[in-house]
Amino acid sequence: MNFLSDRRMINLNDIITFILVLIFPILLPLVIKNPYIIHLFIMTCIGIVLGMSFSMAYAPGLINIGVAAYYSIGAYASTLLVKKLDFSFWAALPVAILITGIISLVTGLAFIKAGTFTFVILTLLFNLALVQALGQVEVLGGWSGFVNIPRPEPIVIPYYSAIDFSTHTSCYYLILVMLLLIVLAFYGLYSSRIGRAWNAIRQSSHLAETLGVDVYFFRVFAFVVASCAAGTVGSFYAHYFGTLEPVTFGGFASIYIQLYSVLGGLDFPILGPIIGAIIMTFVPEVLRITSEIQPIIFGVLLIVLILFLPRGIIGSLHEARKMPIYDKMAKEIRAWLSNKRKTV
Amino acid sequence: MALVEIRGIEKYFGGVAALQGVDFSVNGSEVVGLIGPNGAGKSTLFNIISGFFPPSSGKVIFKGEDITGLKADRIARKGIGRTFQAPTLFMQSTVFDNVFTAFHMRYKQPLWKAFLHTPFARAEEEIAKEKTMEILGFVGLASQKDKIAENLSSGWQKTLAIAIALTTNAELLLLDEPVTTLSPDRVEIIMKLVSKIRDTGTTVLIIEHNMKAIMDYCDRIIVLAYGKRIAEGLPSQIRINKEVIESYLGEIG
Amino acid sequence: MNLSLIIQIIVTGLAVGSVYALMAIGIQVIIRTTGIVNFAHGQFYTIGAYTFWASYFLLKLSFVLSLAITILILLLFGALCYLFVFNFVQQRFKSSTSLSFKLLLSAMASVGLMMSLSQTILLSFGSEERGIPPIWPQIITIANVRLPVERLVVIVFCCLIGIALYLFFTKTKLGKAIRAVSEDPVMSTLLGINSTRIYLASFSIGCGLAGFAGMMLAPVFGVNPEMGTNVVFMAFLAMIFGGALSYKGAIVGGLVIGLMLSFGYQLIGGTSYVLVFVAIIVFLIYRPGGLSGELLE
Repeated sequence: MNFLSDRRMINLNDIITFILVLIFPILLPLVIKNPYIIHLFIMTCIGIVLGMSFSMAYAPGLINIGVAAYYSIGAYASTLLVKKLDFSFWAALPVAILITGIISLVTGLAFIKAGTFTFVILTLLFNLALVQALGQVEVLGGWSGFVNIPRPEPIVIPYYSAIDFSTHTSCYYLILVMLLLIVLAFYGLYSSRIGRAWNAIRQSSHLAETLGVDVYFFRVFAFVVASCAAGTVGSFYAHYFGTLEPVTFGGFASIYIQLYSVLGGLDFPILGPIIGAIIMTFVPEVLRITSEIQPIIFGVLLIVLILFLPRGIIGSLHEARKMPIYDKMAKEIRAWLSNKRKTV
Repeated sequence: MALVEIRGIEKYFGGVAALQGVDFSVNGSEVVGLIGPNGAGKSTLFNIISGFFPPSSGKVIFKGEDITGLKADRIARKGIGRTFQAPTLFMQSTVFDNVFTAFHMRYKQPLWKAFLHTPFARAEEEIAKEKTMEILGFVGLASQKDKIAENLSSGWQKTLAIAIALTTNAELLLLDEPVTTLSPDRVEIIMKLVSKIRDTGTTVLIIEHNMKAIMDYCDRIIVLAYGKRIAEGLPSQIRINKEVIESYLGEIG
Repeated sequence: MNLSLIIQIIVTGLAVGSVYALMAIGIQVIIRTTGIVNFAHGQFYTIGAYTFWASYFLLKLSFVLSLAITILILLLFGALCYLFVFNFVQQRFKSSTSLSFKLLLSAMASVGLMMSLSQTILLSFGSEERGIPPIWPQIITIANVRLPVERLVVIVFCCLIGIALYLFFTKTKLGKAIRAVSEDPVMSTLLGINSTRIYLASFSIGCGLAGFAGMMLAPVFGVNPEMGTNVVFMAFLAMIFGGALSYKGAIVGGLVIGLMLSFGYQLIGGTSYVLVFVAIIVFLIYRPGGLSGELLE
């Protein structure tokens, strides 16, 4: 099921919905003052982008179980640029994205060429190996990583004031802006013939080839764009969180990222990760699940999801909507309403 | 000048010869049937022409250009479309989406403009949507345009495959067993469609086992057996050709 | 570097390499038969190691008995995992769902399994490393060269299992059925082979191999909860290096990687493992099909 190929071009309806949906996140900090909760929202935004990265690679059929690797590349590149080469955050960010792009291009070209099964394995191996490398090489911080990574420098608006990033709230707005830009860019891709080509490749790469689609190019393209998005939030994360350790980016992180995507629903590359990341960030907090048991519970959750809800939450709701019961219910409700109108 | 020339095509898989020197040519605006006992190498030939693997030796010349060994997507762009023996569709998409997606290579606007949804890019998409409806109408699938492909009957699935191949605006269409296993009514509908396609100027090369379909609707027939071309001619000639009959009987016996 | 040291490095390399090869074959059998990429393989390895440690060291059972118990438990546990986790996926999503989706589901299931098992092991046994007192005399001397017996034993055992596997796959009914399914699933159903049983069997055997591998190296390097992850990394690498469609490739790949690591460790130290990875990736760029040259789509 490819929900997006029957998307009409962006029109007024979409724009209005988009704006309405935005009001909640934008006004959020006015309502919530607790920095820890703002922190959770920030991590959710990061999670959304990472989940979208997984989904974008999945669009043409690539299963990237090592998203965290590219997340870490963005984080480490940015940190090194700022700490060792005295870059400002705003200069380091684009360079870090570029570095992530180059590495994802090189690895992508090699891994994708080896076939879809092998790709899955190689992305995981790359993730594990990278974490080891980051830990063992002292120049890259070693196992203890980096501390005291500075927040982004304030943006000076001439004649007005400066936007300073020392508070959680201002960082929240920064990540929100990044998230919005990335969502826009991704939406633009998915609703164009690039997105349709990806869908075609995923369903039948054989047929897509017959229709003139250069499968290899589109796969590499999706992979690089997805990884760059991960690198972008990686850079943000390093400077927001202040400390960086290799273990944060290990195999488990990549698996959580997968969960964000799958929980929401793989057929929804933008909406899915949003739902998934929100649930996975807040539910453990509410239920006070300690970090020790987390992997077990999430592991089991992943299995349960696959068995019972493979299309994710949104996907299952969508499927449920198609069931005859709902049609009947909808008809009855409509009939009841029009009856009411008649009597009134 | 012939539309397609097959010259001396040989194909070996390991030590086994699938094709041992096949020559023939096909002209514009005709329906040519490619028949022969199982294992004669027909599907292999299709795979070579459409670029899924290269021949061990020999050439494929299309419109005067040597296209031997080019990859499948390049060959598709040159103007050769095909269908497959097994139903090869975008199973989870709707009928409309299957054909609409297939227009991919006919867009002139570059990809980055498509991403930015420039007015020209959007206009092209609108045109593609209209053409999709045209094709669906042409093959008779317009009323089922919102059905999911895997829910279609196999007859309609094969029709959809042909519709997809038509989007490529190909001059040469390779149809691999388009009517095998279908009921006589369906066969007639699809073969009439093939004739309609020929009348629009496209050449159709068909692999088929359904002899009636071939005899009734093909302009010419080429017979392959044991990796070689053993006969070529009008249906009336092939029907009484001794070698052809023997090669088929040999298969049964 | 004297000859003695070189021979020791080679023996260690071969020992570790044959374990990787065994693991790689286990993974390959599972992939080629059921299409499941079993990321939890490393955890089965670890469970094998701990089970052996528990039987031999804690319960003080004999070597042979510990061996048997470990293999049995692993086979059983593998079967259970298959039944509860993967079987559902295999049955529910048969033909027309896209290959990507099926691959994703089983990859995720195995990853989920990996996470839960891995953390459970960690929490149950604690993160310290346990040693096993030596089972064999430590060193024997042949022709003036001192050889570590334990590692030789590993090589010998792996060869024995390799031969057993070969016989199993070529001579027994079940083995031939498994091969048939992995080569041509459609034909096999037509021939009346019950795919579920075969999948179950292949998965269990794959896990059994992993457990056996874990048992092999437990006396040599000790047991710790992380051992599975490291070994499975190399096992997957070996499989890809050798070519995903070739059992011989997996064996050669495993041995070569073992040797590379052994020499690398002597010469460079811990980072050799990253270098081996990079080397193999570069190799793959030039030859995506690995040593055997065939691509697995």
